[in-house]
Amino acid sequence: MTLRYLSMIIVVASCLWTSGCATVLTVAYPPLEETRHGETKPGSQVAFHYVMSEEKDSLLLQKQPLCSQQIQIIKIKRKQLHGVIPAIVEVPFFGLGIADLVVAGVYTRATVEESDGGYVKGVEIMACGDLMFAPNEELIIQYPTSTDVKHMRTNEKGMIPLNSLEHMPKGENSFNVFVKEEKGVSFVKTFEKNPR
Amino acid sequence: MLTEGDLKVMKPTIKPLIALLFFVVACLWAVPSANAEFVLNASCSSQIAEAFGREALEAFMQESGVKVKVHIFPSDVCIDRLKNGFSNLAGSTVRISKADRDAGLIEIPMCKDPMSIISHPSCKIKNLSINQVREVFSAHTPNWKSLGGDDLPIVLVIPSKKTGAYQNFMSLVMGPFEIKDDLVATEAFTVVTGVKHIPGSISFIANSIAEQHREVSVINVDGLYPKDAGYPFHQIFYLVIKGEPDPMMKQVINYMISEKAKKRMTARGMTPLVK
Repeated sequence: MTLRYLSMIIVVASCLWTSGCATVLTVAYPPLEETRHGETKPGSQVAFHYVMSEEKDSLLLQKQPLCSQQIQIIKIKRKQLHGVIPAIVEVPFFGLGIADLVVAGVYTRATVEESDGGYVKGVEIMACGDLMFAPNEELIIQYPTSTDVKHMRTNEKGMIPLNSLEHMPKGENSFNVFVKEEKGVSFVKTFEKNPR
Repeated sequence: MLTEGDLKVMKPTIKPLIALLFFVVACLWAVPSANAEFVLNASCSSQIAEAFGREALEAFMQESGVKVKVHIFPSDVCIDRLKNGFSNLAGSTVRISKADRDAGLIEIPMCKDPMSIISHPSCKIKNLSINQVREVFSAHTPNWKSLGGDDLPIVLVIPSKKTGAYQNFMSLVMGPFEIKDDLVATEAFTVVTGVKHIPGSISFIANSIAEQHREVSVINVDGLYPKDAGYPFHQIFYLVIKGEPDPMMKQVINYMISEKAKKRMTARGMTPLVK
């Protein structure tokens, strides 16, 4: 009989002891500091994005400035949830563990502090201007089968006449277009035979 | 004492409690997800990876900060992975088929690389005619002695049939002859390792890889060294993408044909094709 009472006392004491454990531990631990990305904005210009489209009797080359991405860093300070396991252990006895977990969870969310951590350079690039004509650009036309290349130049309106591309080497089904820039070569587009 | 009926009554009272507990814990642990970033998943033929691809992509990763994952497979598998969305870039040593082009794949020839015939360092034969090459790889010449070398069996270390190296060697060199094998290697690196360690062995591989492994001997073909003008066998390395590339993918392509990449190609004896 004594043993039965003793074990009951131990169980009740354990339950009472663990009640509110998650909340107390969550409050007691120091806040966790982490960061997340906020808004993005364009940084300095890094390249041009070339777009080629078919017009009436010609191909039109346009370009759009590309900038590196600036990402806002938001610093977050928040309490981390602790004492979950004691709270779970306590649930089968009184169910109070659930209330404890909810209170602890509400507390972690209520203590979130956000502050601006400035901007950092992101890895991606983004458009940072309007599309404009690309006049007098040197083009490299590459034929994939023969790997032959030929050089052309867009006119003052950014166009090249289609008839200058009509005579493709034998066996070619497509051609790749590149723009030769100071920094290097920029891929534009692949056209199938007879872009008309 | 509890009866079976009592137990049946008790069960449903615990289940919702456990479910509620899991729900609460799951809700509490829910953390806002981080912003998705561009990740370059490149499937690369082992020859391109060994020749310069892995190095070039790692350099791109360091310079741009873009996360790059390189997966090595035979060229056909690389193209299949690209087609099925497992990667967004493929490096292939074989051309894409018409069906692949119709499916929206685009190929960009980056560079060409001579295909070298390599042998074990102890091999005394330094030159073979094209016909002799065909006879050796079709096992019609089983011993080095008949070619003027030591009395030693010729061991054919052959890249697996799925590889671009095998397909290119078949179409460029062998013509109607069938390639026989004594040992099949799955990757470019294993080809070199096999030839390096097996006396009497011979194989074929991109010259840019042979250049990096001076332990193996390179055999001239019709008196021409792979870097000589007029050397008969060349492979073309292609960059393959799916559909029209977005600005981010164009940055990757432009890096692979940039002056830096071209310098790397030229240093390894390759010829850049976008110039």
